Amino acid sequence: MATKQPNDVLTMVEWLLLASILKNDNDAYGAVIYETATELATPTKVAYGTLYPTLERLERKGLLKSRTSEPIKERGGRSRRYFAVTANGQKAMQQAEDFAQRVARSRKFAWGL
Amino acid sequence: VGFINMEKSQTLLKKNGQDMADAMSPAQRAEAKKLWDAISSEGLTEENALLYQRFCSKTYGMVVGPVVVTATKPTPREPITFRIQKKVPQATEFVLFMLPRERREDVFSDLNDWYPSWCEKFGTRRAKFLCWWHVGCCVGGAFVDVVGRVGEIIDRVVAAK
Repeated sequence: MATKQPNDVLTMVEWLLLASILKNDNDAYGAVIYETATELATPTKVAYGTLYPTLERLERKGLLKSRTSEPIKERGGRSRRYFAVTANGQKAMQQAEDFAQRVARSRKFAWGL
Repeated sequence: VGFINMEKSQTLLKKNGQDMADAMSPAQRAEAKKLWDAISSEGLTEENALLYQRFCSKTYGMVVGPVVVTATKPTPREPITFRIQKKVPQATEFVLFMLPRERREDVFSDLNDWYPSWCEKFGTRRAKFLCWWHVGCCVGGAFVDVVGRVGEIIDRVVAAK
């Protein structure tokens, strides 16, 4: 499985989704992740269409891992996919936060603040 | 293609949806009670579940599409409570066939979570619209994802040259 390159900074949506999973005890499924991400992103919105492609992309990059739950009777025997952030994912989040802080500092410097 | 799910806890019933008992006439209530007694004593078989569902559909003629009937066992303190939980329009499932299997199941599960509360908040018509809107977003998102991946491959091929 490919891992995220150190210089490859997370996008805002990626960071939001990772943060949402961590906020839900690092074990959450799509609907919960989306609701938490929307809450965190307020007043902007997260598009539902980007949720699963982004989660799957993060999983391909080794920043997330998923597990499938037991089939749920009330869901017609369907199971749910739960996501958890890996150690690499947490590192990538830290890098993204550091990067944002560096950008903010350089902007203040450029404006003489 | 509903089924009866006997809930031991009433939390779910109080959280979402309409209490069926409130909307029933005394005669309907009596019939529901009689049926429910039969169901409780015989166990939840497919036959009496369908019988009960038919009764509910007849009583609530406005219910369209498949329903899940959730019922609580009557206790000395609380009367019998029934509720019809609306289900996601089945046609959405056919549209979601365009998505990979895992994602399709995830999206359908999310919609099942949200649909009853949408019905309660916004009414059935808007709930259906929201349902289709989310399905559209997913199909659109999948298309953009595929385009993005093709772009990545082209980028790698160009870089290799």
